[in-house]
Amino acid sequence: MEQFKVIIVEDVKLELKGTEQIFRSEIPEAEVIGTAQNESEVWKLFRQAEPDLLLLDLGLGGSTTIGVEICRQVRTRYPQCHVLIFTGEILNERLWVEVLKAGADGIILKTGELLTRDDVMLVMKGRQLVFNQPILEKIVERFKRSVMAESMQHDALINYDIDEYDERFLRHLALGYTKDMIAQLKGMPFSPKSLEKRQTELVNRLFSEHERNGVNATRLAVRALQLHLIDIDNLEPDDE
Amino acid sequence: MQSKWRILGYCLSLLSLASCGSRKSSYDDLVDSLNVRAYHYRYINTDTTYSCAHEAQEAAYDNPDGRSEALCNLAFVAYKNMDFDEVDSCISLARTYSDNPLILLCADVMQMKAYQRTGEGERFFRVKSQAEDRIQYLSNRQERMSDHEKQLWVYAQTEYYLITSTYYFYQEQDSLARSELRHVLPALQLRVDTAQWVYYNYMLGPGGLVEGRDARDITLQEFDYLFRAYNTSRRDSLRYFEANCLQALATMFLSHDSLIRENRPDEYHLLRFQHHASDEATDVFLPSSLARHALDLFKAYGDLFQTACAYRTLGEIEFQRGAYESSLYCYEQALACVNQHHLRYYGDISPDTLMVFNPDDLLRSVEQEWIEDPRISTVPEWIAGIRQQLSLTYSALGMKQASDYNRNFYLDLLQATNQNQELESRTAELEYQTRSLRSRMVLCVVLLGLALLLALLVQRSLKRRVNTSLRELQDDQWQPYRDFVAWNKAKLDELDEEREEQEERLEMSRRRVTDDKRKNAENRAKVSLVHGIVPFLDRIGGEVVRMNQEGTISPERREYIVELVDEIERYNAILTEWIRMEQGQLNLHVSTVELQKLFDIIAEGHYAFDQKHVTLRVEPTDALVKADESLTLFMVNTLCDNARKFTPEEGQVTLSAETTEDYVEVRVTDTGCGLSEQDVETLTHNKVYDTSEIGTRPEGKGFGFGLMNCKGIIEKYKKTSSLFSCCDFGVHSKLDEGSTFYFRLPRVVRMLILLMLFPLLAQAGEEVQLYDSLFLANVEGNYEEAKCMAQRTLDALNAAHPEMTPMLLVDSLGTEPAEMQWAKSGVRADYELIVGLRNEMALAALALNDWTMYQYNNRACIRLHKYLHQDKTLPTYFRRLERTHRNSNLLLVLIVVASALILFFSVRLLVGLQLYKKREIDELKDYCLRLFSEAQSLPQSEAFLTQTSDYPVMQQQASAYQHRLVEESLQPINHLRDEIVRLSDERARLEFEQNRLYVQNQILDNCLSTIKHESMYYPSRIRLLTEKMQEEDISQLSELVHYYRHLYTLLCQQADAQVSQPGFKRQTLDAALVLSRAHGCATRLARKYNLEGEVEQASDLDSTTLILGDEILLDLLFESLLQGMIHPEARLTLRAEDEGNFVRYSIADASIRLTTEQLADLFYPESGKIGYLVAKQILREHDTYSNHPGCRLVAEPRDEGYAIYFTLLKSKR
Repeated sequence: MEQFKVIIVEDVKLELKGTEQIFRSEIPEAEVIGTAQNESEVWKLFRQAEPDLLLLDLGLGGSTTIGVEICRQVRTRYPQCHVLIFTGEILNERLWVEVLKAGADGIILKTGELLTRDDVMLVMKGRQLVFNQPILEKIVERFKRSVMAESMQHDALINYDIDEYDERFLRHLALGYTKDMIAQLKGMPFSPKSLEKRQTELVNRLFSEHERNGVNATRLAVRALQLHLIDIDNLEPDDE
Repeated sequence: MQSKWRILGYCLSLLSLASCGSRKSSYDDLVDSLNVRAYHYRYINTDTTYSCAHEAQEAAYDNPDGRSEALCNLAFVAYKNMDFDEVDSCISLARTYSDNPLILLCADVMQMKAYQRTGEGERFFRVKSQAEDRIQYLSNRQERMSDHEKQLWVYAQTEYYLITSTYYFYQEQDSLARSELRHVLPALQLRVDTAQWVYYNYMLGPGGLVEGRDARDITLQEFDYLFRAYNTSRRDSLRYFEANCLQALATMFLSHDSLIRENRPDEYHLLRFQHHASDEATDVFLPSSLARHALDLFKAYGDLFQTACAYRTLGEIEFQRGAYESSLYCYEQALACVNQHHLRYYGDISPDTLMVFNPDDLLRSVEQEWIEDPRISTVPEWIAGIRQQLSLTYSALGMKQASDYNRNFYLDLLQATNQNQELESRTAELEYQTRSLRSRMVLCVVLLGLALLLALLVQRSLKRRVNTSLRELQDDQWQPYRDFVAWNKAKLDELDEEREEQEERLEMSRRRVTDDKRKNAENRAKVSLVHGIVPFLDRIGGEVVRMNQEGTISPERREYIVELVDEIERYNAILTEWIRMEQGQLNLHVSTVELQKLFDIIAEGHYAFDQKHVTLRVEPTDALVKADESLTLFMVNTLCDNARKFTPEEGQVTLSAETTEDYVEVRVTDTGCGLSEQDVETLTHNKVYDTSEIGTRPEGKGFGFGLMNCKGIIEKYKKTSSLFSCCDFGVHSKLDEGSTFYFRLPRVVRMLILLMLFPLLAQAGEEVQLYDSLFLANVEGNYEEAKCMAQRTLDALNAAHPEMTPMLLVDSLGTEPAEMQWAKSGVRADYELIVGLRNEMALAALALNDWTMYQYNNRACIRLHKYLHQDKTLPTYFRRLERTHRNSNLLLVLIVVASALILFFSVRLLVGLQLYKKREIDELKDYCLRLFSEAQSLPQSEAFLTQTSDYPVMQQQASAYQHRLVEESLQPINHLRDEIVRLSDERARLEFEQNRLYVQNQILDNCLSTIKHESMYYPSRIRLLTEKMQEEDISQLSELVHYYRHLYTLLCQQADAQVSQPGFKRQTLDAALVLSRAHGCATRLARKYNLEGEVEQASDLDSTTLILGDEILLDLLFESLLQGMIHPEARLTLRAEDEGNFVRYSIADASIRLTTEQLADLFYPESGKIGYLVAKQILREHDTYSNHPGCRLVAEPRDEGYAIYFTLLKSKR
């Protein structure tokens, strides 16, 4: 691989030393043309020479999230420059999303293996979404959870024996419809009386024997949400 | 000499019988000259005074003034002999004979002198106010006085000021004493009176009443006064003053010998010469010889009181030289003088005398009996001084019991004199007032009774007539309305009061929340600091992994690891320092807690148990414990929550308390799955463990940090005071059989007395607990420990008032103890505790034979005690009393006038009653009309009202209208009620938040100190291993680093669990207002640092700019930054600017330049300024909770100086 220019933005001197050492010993192609400890130094360096890669820490000095702002500006002003985030923000997931939105090519957490040659090379080859192991684990975990939630809904529908009318009934209860109103819906060819009966049956199905006492429509609707019988992100009423 | 005068007197009296013509004038001359002579010899030889005065008294049988004057001289002799009864009788006789104000003034002054010595404050002031009036009266007539009268006038006047000054001086009211002394010199200008002049100089000598540049200057000035007094008194052989001066000089030389020798060499050598002439030894100790000389003079003069004092001084000097035996002898002699005085006058009343030490009866205090017996007069402070010295000397001789014996009596005496003074003045005040007012009261009551009777008669007849007139009008229906109006007003007032109370309580809660929130922010900043170490650990981890891959140890990597370890240690040190700095700020709020109250709260939360179909059983208890209520509730709650989580359906959780002798054990028992032996072991013995590995729940392990936190709290109790040594936390558990978690707290016995013993502790405060331990240490005889405890107590007290001079455990004797300055400048502190502490320290010092510490603490104790208990109101009280007299006379006149007026009006009223009936009807009509006119403004009024002149219709309408009015007037009441509910809800919310923050802070505090303790050791291990490492050791290092990181992560998690609960409260704030609040804070700080210029303020914001933020945290943010930036030369400017989506606040200091390096380091632990870390944390939280990253906090150079600015997100609203 041919030579490329790097600017390192890192506010803790001792860490900067470690990072520089990694570049020196593992990524000889990289030429570190400057290091910055705060925002103003970053722009000064950019004015001197435009790098191919910006290795950016998110917190600088007293400003703990300023990296997001720097990333956004580099993306708009120097679109050719790759931005790789190298941060110790190991818990602040929201910040990862923010910085990805701001156009970062990847995020490397300062834990585990730290910065590796492979990660840097991937970014230089134009790969997007480069993450190191710890962050990948977190992403995958999140992904699994959301997939599980979806499959749980299918399971629940089967387990609790929920038919189309049950689903519609529960969804409209959650939306605040009264039984009289639900009875008016096109897709609900039932009288309020039989809806009452349906509700009792649903309570029996969704609650165990000693839980049933005193369950009202609200509790029933919330239970349906908890069991993923109805989807909170898709809570729309039927056309009337 | 005396006999000669007596004979002369007789001759003259015989002569006077013979020659009747010129009798009067020659007799008067004789009496005058005898009196002059008696006066002259007062301080030289009282026998002469006595004989002359006696002669004069007899010769002056028809010269009342001369006779009274002679009696005053006799009173002086009695005073010297300490025969106070005799003084009283002489003075009262003198008063009956003469009505000459000048002579009466002399009598007053003499009596004041006696009361001053016996410490009878109330009497003293009564006579003093009399004398004051006389002085005022006489000062206008001094031109017309004869020569003899002038002499008396000068004496009486100067004596008055000198005695008053002495009185104030002994009451520790130095400034008052000083101002009295200022009158003496002008008074002396009228006529020469050597004795009074010497007296004046002597007063300024050892008194500490001189003002000067520094201690050295004062001492020299005092010496000059003393020496002058000494020289003159020696020249004129005023024995009494000569001895007094010598005694004072002796004490002075004891501590300032070299100072005087260097600066006043002539006087010094003169003194040495005078007092060595008779001694052969050349190295004789000057103070001893001075004191001995004083003693001889006093003996010759025949003053028992002063002889005892001289013995005491001599004893003190011997003590300082280490001759304890001979010093003991001196004190014995001093006490013998006291006994001699007692036996001479009161031997027949109580033959018992004082003993230096009575091992057979340690508790009986003869002096106490004397003081309590009204027939016996003595000078308690006299005895107190001797007792104190005895206790010291015995202690030096190693006789602890005898030392304690004397010390106890000493303290009792001090207490007694104080009580005496207070009680006396108060009871006498009451008596006096009652007596003088009683006669007037009787008169008033009679007059008032008459007036009342008359008024009653009038009222009755009026009422009858009014009733009939009202009946005529059928006006019963008006009454309920009137009642209602009255009720309405009362209710409104009542509710208004309640609202105010609620508002006050709300304000208090608000303040507490602010405090706790600020502490919380600091704790969060500490957690951030702790997290700051993790990247370094990861770097070390990274280096180790690479070394493993490479299989070699490059010196570069080795060096880098060491650097990282150094950095970690630096962070640890900063954290340690930070925690240490705040020790004592975060106290446990210990009080007596009724467990049942907490149990009730838990029982109320049974719903969560019901949901899970677990039975919650709460056993009632009446136990009281000494504990922090919030934390105890937290612990009970945590244990119950845990139990609920780990108990399967149909199980049972029981909360109970068992009381033992010392402690109360609170237990939470469940029927859950139980814990393995290993888990129990981990829970009870390890401070840190992986909570996710505890338990055997089928759905997964995991216990949370609750138990760890509970254990931490118990540890904290134990560290606080020995009172909590019985505290414990533990668990009994068997697999599948359930578990019992318990903790123990000290028990409080349900008895009134014991509850009263603890009020100090109940108010919490670290210093109180420390003092408690100090007291215990002293009781147990651990004096060194007591010393440590005292130092810590003082530290805690000093920390509360950093602006004041700190109190020291021991200091040079001349300086005034810092607490006196505190007390005088009105600083709020627990002074009784300080008095106690000083006393305990004096005791400890006695036992440790540390005399300087004893002297310092004892003096500090006594001075503060006196200062706190002095009767500051006496002088003003007497002035007030006189005014009351005048007022009560005035009152009498007024009452008479009032009665006459009442009588007059009653008669008029009776006459006018016939007219009244008619007017009543008119008025009612008028009232209805007014009602109607008011009603016009209301929309529906037409429905009620029609124009009519028919009275019954009008009445009907009015009553309907009243109905409406009632409804409307209820509105403000309802409004107030709503307001009160709102306020009390708000308060309940704040209390809830405060409680949460408080518990959170306590736990964070625990977590942080655990982190500090548990992880301190690893960095140095790593460094050691790295420095000596060979290739084969890499895996060992890798393991160590791995373990360290694991442990550290566990500890961090515990802290994180607390931090994750938000303390941030998002508010929409007026951006300009935030700046002006900051400006207020800056101005306050500027005043504290004595900044020269004003703090500037500039803003380009318009009034509608709003920002998102937490007000309390923003205040702290500004304060933290300002605290870091401010210094006495600072020139500060605060500025707020609009910056797109943000508002930029900046603080600039134009006075100093910081290097780029310094500016860059500002927000890192390296800067050593913790305030900046707090600021950083607060800004980070603003960033997080306003959900928009990008807030800046930057330090940058300016053309002049530097500036720190930060940006906050604008609110869109």
